[in-house]
Amino acid sequence: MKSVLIANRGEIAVRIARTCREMGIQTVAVYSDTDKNALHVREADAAYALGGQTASESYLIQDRIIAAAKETGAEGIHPGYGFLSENAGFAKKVADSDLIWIGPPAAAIDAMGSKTQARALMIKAGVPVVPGTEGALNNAKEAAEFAKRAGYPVLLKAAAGGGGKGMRVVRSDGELEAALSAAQREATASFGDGAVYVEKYLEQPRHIEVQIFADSNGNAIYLGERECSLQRRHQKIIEESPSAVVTPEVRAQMGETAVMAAKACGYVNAGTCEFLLDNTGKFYFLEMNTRLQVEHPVTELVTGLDLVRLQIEVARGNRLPLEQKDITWRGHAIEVRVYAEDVLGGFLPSTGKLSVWKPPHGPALREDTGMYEGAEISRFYDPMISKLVAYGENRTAAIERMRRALREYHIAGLATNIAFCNFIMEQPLFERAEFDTGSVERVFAPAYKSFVEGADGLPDWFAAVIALANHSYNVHDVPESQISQVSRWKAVGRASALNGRSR
Amino acid sequence: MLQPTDIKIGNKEYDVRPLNKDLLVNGVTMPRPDFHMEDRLIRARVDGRIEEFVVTRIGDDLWLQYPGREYPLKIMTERMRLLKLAEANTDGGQHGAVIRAAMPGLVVRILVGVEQEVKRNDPVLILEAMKMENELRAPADGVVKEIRTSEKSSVEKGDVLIVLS
Repeated sequence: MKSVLIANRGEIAVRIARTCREMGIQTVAVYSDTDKNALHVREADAAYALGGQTASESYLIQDRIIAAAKETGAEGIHPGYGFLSENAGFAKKVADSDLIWIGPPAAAIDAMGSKTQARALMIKAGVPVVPGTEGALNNAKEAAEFAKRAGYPVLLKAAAGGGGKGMRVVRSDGELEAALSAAQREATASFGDGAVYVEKYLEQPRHIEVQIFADSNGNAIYLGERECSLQRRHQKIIEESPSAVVTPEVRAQMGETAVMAAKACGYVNAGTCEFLLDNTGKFYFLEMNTRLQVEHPVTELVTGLDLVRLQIEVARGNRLPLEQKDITWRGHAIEVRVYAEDVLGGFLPSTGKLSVWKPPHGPALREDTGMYEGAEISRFYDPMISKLVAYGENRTAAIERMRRALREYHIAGLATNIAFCNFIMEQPLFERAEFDTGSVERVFAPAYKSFVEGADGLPDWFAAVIALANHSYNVHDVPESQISQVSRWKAVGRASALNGRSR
Repeated sequence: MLQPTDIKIGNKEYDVRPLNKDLLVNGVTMPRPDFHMEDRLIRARVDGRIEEFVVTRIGDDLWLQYPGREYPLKIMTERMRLLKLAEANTDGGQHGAVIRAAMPGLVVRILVGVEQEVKRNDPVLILEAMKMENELRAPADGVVKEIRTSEKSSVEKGDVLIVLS
């Protein structure tokens, strides 16, 4: 495999291209009209225009992506995460077109990709699961019957889903009907499959997931866990590896369970078993993600492995270069997903131009991004700006490094969650690793709101500088978009050259 | 010439006005600080060191971002204050509550009709953004006076979608 088409966009497309380049593999980017100036298009060796604006007009058109691979002479397709990465039909089409699919076989995606089928398979294999319906719901009545048995709250989930889309917590019979139709609509819009099932909603669990890898020669290993409990709107914002609450015994148990799950479905390539961990240390299989995860960098930092490189080697039919006994973990890694969003306005996405973007640098930091200064964050795609990862010899060192990095980070033009994530890093509850999947919305977001509202002022010189800056540049009157179009810096530079010092 | 400017950062208010070559901040004289602004990133020299911060507009609000922190910021110059006063005097009409798009997105469903009575917190419209459905709720009791959008239409942040009376 000398050339790979990357059927994705944003930071993950850039990240995959980088490993390909390291391995001497040519890369082909695909892009929508919206993304014609995107970083992933610049970073690839060749690029192919898909047209369209939204994902369904571009990155989700299977035949066009296969045609792009054929036209550009790509031998393999890497799907990244999201989009077509967990679409068994597409995986099969790729294989049937004599292209190498850098991911699990269609049959394994089928078995694990549907959450309902995966649950059935896990129950058969003796893996503990959260109680729920076996198959997709036909109507709200079936959900009500389940809720009567299991008790409220219950969770409606898209069978084909992920990323919080098509998901609703329901706390009473009265909310059920509306929640089910909303979940079905979202599921149809996001995954092209409106099937929704229901399970018991565990209160205050932790979300712990295990990275596994399998090759086509029957070998499978686990690469340890990631703690992903800090989420808002069912989407993760802070992840770390290892988890502060997972003991070596639980790590081995979860790892072996995950490997068993992978073997049960003939799994090949990278996969992730998600578990819920209750406060007694009991874990339940949640679902398996049959793709590379957004948060894979934390595993890479503590294991020293390049998961994309392993994916490519396994897709080539090679054996995994490591056995379980070769896997060691060293230090601690924390990832913050920097999002363009209005934390205080309920985490709503913020769109616009990244007019100032100065990411942090220095020891043991990694930043995966598909952005650049001046890039537009459109409403058409996920508003993630970058993944910032800090490594340290232990959890405390990693937290201290992340705080330092977040303090160095400057962004203007959009609302971001940087200050909020920095606030979380400073909380004693976070330092003591006392949190669960509801902590962001229940504890950290309200605490942050009072923190910002109660903020004392800053030294007087800030006010002096702002008044002067407003006078010279009209900070208040000029909309963001106009400020970014002309370089006011240049204009002022000229003025000061003419008038002596500009004040 | 710098106009007298009222500034509010977080909960602290500052009155900044020129005084010959210096500034008067809350009645205390200070020399004009040296600074430059690159887009919205401001670098200021304070006591010999360089401090960096960002002033950015998010929707209708200004924010000051200073290492790892964000503060709500308000700037009101003398001229702006006079303009606002003039506006307030000409615009005395009674306004009902309006429901605005809190983010750019697609109107999936409108749950109310014109002249329908709504209670505070009743869901009135479903807006889809980034593939997530968001329920917009009535900010107050009232009657739907006007619907300024339709299902399947794209809206921008801040657009008025529904007017209540």
